[in-house]
Amino acid sequence: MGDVTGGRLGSLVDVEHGIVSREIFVSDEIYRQELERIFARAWLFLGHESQIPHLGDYVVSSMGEESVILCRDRAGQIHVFLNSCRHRGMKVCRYDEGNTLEFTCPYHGWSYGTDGALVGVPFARDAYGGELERARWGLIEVPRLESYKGTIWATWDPAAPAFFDYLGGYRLYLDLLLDAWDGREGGTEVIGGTHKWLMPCNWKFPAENFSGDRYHGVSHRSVDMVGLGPSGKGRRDTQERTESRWLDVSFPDLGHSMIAFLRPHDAPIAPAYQDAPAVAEYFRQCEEERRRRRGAEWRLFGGPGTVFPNASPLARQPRTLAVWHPRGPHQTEAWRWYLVDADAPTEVKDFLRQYYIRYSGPSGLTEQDDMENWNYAHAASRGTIARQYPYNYEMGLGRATRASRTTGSRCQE
Amino acid sequence: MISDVTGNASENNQRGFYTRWRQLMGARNWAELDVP
Repeated sequence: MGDVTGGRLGSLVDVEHGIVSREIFVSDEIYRQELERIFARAWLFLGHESQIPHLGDYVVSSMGEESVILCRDRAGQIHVFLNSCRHRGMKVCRYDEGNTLEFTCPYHGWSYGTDGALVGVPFARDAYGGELERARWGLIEVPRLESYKGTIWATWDPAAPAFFDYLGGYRLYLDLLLDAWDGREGGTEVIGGTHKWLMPCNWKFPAENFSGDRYHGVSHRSVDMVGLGPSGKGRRDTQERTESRWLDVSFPDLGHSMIAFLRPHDAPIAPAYQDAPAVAEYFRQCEEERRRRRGAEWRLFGGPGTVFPNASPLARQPRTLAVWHPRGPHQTEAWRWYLVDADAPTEVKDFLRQYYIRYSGPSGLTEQDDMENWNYAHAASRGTIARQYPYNYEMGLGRATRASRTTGSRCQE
Repeated sequence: MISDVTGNASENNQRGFYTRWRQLMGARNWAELDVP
């Protein structure tokens, strides 16, 4: 597919002047180009190893609009396959998750092993004269897959940069989500299932919101007043943000970004979860250990962010990873994974699970208001008149106070 | 780039997001893109 914008990309997205056209949110043609030039090329988040711990475990995930199967084969190797039979394209797996010896297409019965090999063809001898070349007709597998601290990423493009080159210096910030609360490398797992819901808005609304929109506090005012945080004060108990320096971390040549926080050198451990003493003590011990392990780096904390194009970590509580799947220019399917320290006591995990349910997604309170914004902003931008007028992204343009640069490995002051 | 936005709201990150969006949408393949 050629460039449907006819060379107008510079005027549609004029970041130098803080102007972005509404067309890129509502145009069918631009959306189709996004599927080809972004979602078929980029590294995309698919799921977590802790979701498929046993041989034969699988979850169905998504890359762009396309359904894929993430599974652990009988030898323990992780694969990602297009969820489409090679015979007539039927979904070979219509469940969200499970454990299996093979995937059998419900249409004509072709069946595939968990390694993707075509292992069964009904009436093969009579129908194909025994000449069907099965080795050619296995499930279509992604050419590139990477597992990083339990998270699984893949791309359809064999020419894409290596995963760690794709992440670049952002790896430090992704680690703020994936490392254990006490500063150990890795050590997190998914708790509960994957939260999924549909929103009538373009996928870029949530992706850019998580990338660094700290301007919408008014949207959450009612939630702050309700006090859904564990101790009934505001949205969260972890109050270390209040005394921190607030940082916008952006890698414009990679597209990744995060809101981060830098605490003072002499900041005390911020008390949290006081109404649940065992939980409070767990996090207090973790914070102490984190300072010991990380040295000066203990001061850096992550917030919401986006790994381009559509994976959004939220590195502090509620600790989650969201993906904004495109489902047409006017619809997004949000998937949310919730993370805890794998070796945390059961009491701590249960406490966090309840908090996460109150906070996030359609069952929570905080993102109900976000979704209202995204949904109505999208609807109000689709019209013949409305789409002629661009959005404004001038805030802070040319007035950034540069705190530091990253070397690609560490935040420096 | 890291900007100190303590008390200074900014849309640096959103502009970064759309910078990459524009790069990918304008390139026919990865070879046309600079990978830092």
